Amino acid sequence: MESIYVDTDQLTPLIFILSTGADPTEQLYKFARDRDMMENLGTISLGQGQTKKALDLIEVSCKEGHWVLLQNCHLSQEFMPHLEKAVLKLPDNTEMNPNFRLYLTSTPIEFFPVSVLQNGVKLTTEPPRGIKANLKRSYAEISDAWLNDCKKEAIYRKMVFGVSFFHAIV
Amino acid sequence: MTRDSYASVAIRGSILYFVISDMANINSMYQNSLQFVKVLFNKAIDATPKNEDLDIRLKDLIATITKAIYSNISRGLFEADKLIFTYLIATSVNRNTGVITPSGWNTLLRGAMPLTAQQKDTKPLNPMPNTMNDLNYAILYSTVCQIEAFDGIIPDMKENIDNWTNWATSSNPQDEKLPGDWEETLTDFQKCILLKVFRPEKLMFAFKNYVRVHMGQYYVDS
Repeated sequence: MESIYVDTDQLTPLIFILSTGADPTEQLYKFARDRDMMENLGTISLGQGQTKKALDLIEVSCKEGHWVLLQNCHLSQEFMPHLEKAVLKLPDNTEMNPNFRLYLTSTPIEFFPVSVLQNGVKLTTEPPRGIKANLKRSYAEISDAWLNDCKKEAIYRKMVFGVSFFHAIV
Repeated sequence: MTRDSYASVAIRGSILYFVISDMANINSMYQNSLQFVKVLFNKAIDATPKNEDLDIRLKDLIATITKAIYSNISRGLFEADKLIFTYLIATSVNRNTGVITPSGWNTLLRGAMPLTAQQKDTKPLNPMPNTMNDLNYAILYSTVCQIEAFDGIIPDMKENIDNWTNWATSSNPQDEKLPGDWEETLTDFQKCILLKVFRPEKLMFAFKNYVRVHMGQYYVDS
């Protein structure tokens, strides 16, 4: 994240290109926590009726120097023209705070505004390849407390392994 | 003029930009503006350590620019498309210098070209009917007609059929030496064409080798 962050600025959005089974949100949250920006990171999952909320969030965040994460652009075709306009207007914003950053996530879609793509930094996210990497990822999300929470410990752990393994090979 | 001596750097920049803009044909998300690439280009120039010697300076500039632009664009590509991107850069550079000829490039992409009446009349019989089907032999014969370096390869296959069969049926022909002098007389790219004739399923591995040899290990580790 760090090496990509230096290539973005307040006018250059970062676009996560999603593929099935990969979600960069946690990655971004971790980065935000490392930089003490978690408090100032506004997240909106795009969908019906979110257009105004998203535009207001961008406007306020420009002024305050906050970060904005707009998730799942592929689910909100009607928002895309608004997004394009908002991004094109960024350079004219006289109250722009240089700490502002815009993060977008989307699967590959035809209707994603070309102007945003062309001048943004793009990053693909793909699920780990191979059984080992997949298992590691599943286990990274499991805490010790959660594993110890069951009375039939041995059986439970075997079951967790079985399900994780199944998940890794399908 | 001084600025003319930097033309090679500008050429590399233009090659990179056109490969990047072609990538949009693969996935509509792979869009990058000229302006965006120019910013990367200029940043890389600033980041290149200065050197009084012009030849070294040019080399450093080209290396830094290629690496910076590659890294930036490549992380926005899906794994499956990264090798296509680097292979296109490597071949575009070599097409620009003439190492790869237009007819060679066309053969690799599109296969056999139409033959003239005379070429049809003088077409020898398939020298290795057990390892090469007629469709693939058509590609080979078309290549022989168009690229001088392949002169004499068909009679040679007939004469040394055992060596050629061993090569063509080995488990990794892209890593094996070609029979006889062909290993030396054919370029790496022309070997890719031979592989297309005999073992097209190994081409992706050959492309990877090609990128490694012509651009460096850095460009195949993603």
